[in-house]
Amino acid sequence: MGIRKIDLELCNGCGACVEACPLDVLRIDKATTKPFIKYLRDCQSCLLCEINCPLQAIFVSPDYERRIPMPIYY
Amino acid sequence: MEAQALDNVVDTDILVIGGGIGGHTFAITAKEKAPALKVTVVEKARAGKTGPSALVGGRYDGFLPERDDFDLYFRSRVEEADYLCDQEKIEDNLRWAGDVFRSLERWGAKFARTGEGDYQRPLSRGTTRGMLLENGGVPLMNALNNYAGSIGVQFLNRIMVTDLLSNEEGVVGAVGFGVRDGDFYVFRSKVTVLATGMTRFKTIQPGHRNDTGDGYAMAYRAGAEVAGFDSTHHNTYGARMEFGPGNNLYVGLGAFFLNVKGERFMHKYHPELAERADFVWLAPSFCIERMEHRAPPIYLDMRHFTPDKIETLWKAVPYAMMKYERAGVLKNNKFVELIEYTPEGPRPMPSGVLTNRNYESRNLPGLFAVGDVTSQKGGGGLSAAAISGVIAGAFAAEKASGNSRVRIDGKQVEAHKQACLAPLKRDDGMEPDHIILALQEAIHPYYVGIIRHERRLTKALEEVAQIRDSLVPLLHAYDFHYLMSANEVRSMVLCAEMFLRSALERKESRLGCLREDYRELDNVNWLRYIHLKRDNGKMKVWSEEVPVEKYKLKPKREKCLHPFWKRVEELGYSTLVEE
Ligand SMILES: Cc1cc2nc3c(=O)[nH]c(=O)nc-3n(C[C@H](O)[C@H](O)[C@H](O)COP(=O)(O)OP(=O)(O)OC[C@H]3O[C@@H](n4cnc5c(N)ncnc54)[C@H](O)[C@@H]3O)c2cc1C
Ligand code: SF4
Ligand code: SF4
Repeated sequence: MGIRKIDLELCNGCGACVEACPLDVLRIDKATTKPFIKYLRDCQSCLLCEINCPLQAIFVSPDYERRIPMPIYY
Repeated sequence: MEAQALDNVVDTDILVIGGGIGGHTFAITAKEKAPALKVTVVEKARAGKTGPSALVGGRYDGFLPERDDFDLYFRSRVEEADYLCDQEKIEDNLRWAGDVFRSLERWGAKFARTGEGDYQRPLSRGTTRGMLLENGGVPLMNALNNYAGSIGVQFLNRIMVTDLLSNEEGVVGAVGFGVRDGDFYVFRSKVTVLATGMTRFKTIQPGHRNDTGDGYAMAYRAGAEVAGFDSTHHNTYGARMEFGPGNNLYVGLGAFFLNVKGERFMHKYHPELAERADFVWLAPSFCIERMEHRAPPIYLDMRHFTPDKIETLWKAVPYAMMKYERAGVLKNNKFVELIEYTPEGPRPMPSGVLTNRNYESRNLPGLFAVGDVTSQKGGGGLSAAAISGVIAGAFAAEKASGNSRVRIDGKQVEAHKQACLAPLKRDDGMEPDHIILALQEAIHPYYVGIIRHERRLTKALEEVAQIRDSLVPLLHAYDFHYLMSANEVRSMVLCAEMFLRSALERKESRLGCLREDYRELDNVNWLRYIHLKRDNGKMKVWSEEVPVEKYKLKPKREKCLHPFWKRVEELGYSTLVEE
């Protein structure tokens, strides 16, 4: 599932998660100035968004978001 | 036509492409040597916060000159590379290791210490010991990034560089686009350094998916000689969940691998190192278990870890531990479940731009390559990336101070721009994701990348050529984010072709190239590097002798069954893939 939840009640819109994400999964909604998950399939469950969030508003679960062929399963 | 009239032109003395550890140590060294120079780092993600350097498994492969045995480290690196290595660079790496380690500390890196204040030096993969980063790579990269900023290195983030610019004198800059705003950039520089890491074809393992071989691809397209794509390493990772990093530490601390029968097997394949065997031994062993129908699954077992080991893991790879907890594998600080594991897809290594001892390209002046994007860097992982960055940074600063302003060819800029923006301009077409999957399906099966045979490599090459000729021209990007993915696909398809053509060229088994049809390690005829270059629009492949005669260590000039194949035969296991 990768990044699963951004708690917008807790979130103060600081943008640290959007700044940190290596794979550009997150973007800021201009109207609310809060982040949203834009490219979920690219999430790699690295947790950087979550650990960079000062308010513990993000939850990441380490599930694969894409199908990736695994060498010995052939 | 000068480029000025075209787009955002950024003038800089030194252009650093990629903001991992190699890019940082290069930029810091160059700026400290020549503070008047403008040093600009361009990064497609966020320099210092992201990328493999920030998401490492916590081990720093450090040689401490005041304590460690130079000859032992030197010999182990040469032998681990099956003599397919640049012994001068290994020597440089070891000679610089102490200074660079102390510089990293000066720049803010923190290494774990024992209760007595000494560096922790836990056992890891292989025979030599390293150091342990406190809390992994995130604080390390944060510190380097802050330090670089404080001395005036400039950072431009979220810009993907797609091609190098060159003129008759060599490389003079690069072009790229903003992955969030689509702005097109022209960088004009006296010295350009690739620090873009390697490629793993977006396989499993969080941390590496920014590295899509863009540096390999742009160097190749610009005409640079590249080498080493015949060898691939395959780390092993979670097959069901996105776990990791930390493999080297897990095995160093005594983790087991179990096959489908619940039996340990690595001690059979490598009696001395067992689970701590190098990846070029570990991944093929998983494959033989598969061929013997004892896998998949293969499991990583850490259920026997004592509290002190768990504590070490929390210190070195805290985010990996959080994920184990979330998946229910780690409960009350004890591993309670087995973790399903598999080798990852191919990762060419050691491969990249052919460079001299200063890490400058052998045939394209003005282009440097450090870290994982250089073909030979005298060591592995973080430390070799850091050391190559320091060596090259000092030399590049001198060079940039001497060079005069460079001229850019507007036509070249325009051609590169059209090529990188094409997927956006197309009205309709294929998602990059689909092509990534097609590429993985061609090269990920174990009998293509790990246990190799001419027939299967040729078939995979045909599939990749088909992807190159029929699918890549249809690449379609909905927006700038997908434009980045589309350009990553362009790089990866090229890298897959480099890998397969090089692997076909090596007609023996050595390092990360294990051939079912050529099982000998042939030190008579094949102590050779495989090189590649773009020649009249075609991929030219050739080999060159490793100059062992001038090196300290020389192997016996003889042919023998490759030790891995020998072991498999001794065990009486199958050496043939069922087709
Ligand atoms: C999960 C994982 C665990 C690891 N664990 C360890 C470990 O414990 N110890 C160890 O020593 N090594 C480890 N390694 C290896 C180590 O991370 C690398 O060898 C090292 O970080 C390489 O540094 P680098 O500077 O060459 O490149 P990288 O850190 O790969 O940085 C390359 C940077 O270039 C950027 N980039 C790429 N293409 C472009 C482009 N077109 N335009 C702009 N920017 C671009 C990327 O976004 C990235 O930030 C690990 C690697 C991974 C993936
Ligand atoms: S887990 Fe990593 S890849 Fe996924 S959204 Fe967070 S920072 Fe981005
Ligand atoms: S880091 Fe946390 S608080 Fe800041 S924008 Fe992201 S979710 Fe909101």
